[in-house]
Amino acid sequence: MLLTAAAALGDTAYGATVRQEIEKATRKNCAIGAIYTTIDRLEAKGLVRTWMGEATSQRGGRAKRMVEVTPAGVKAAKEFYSAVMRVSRTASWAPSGVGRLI
Amino acid sequence: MRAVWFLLERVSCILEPAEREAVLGDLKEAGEGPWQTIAEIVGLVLRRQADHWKDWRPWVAAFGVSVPTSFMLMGGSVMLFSGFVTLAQASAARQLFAAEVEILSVQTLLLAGWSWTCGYLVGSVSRRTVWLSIMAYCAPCLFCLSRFHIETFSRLSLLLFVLPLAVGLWQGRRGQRMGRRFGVAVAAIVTALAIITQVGVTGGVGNASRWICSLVQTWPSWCLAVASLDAAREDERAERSTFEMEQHELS
Repeated sequence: MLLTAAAALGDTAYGATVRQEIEKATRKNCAIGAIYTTIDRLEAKGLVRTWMGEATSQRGGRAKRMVEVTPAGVKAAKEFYSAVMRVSRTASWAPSGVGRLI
Repeated sequence: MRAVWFLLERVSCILEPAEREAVLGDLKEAGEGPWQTIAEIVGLVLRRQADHWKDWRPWVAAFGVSVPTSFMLMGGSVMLFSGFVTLAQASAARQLFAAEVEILSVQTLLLAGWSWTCGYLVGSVSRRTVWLSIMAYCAPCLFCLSRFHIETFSRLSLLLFVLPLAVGLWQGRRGQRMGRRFGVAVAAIVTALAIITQVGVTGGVGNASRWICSLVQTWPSWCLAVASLDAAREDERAERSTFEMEQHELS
């Protein structure tokens, strides 16, 4: 989910925006600790790349930790999405036609 | 309210400087209050600690090295202290022998070597969970201190190893890279000191269990030597592959 949120945000992906995106999609609160530990794990696997970005007054002059999905991350996210779609093929909640397209 | 902000500053110091910057900025941007910010930071720290414990190394450092070596080092401390007491009594009676002073000096160096290598090993293996390794050293010490009853000895005689151990822990935790030659030299010196001490104390033969105990305590130094050799081999491999890449690019 973090990979998808970061990919969707593109150049504006960092802790706060990724968290906001996930909360919007899941309609649930998401702890900042969960975001940062997941980013660390994904970075260790080479699926995302992070660096310290610029500071803004909106953030009290503090820098952002920017996130970028690597090509390996895009591949892993695509594979995961395909697997979810395939396994959901016969699920009662899946719209008809899902899985056949993949 | 000022106390809450002070608390927030103190709590956020647990995080690495770059991460503190990013996390506090994110929480400020999200408009979180000070209490919520503290809860989020504590949550992050707890998650990080939980992550560290998935690895086998902190467990080995705390329960495989710290606990058993603390008993061994306390034994070494008491033996060294008894040597000093004997020497003080002999010197009072004007029967000071050079050989005794020599053995005691070697024993002092040996205890320092054992303690330092144990500390360095534990510090380098469990950098982020070193607090538990320290507790694993403290628990047996407190247990023994509470049951120590030798009238002529101070209880502090159990803790002569603490200073070199603390220095080793600090240096190991800082991640200082041990050179190949230095690692092997330390292991060889500690082993030689252990042999010299046993030869000096028992006259070359004597108690087999003391010999075994003495040599077993050199294993942290050999672990460090092997690790330093591995690290040097990895560096050489990385250098070779960089050189090959540069040659490939040039051609």
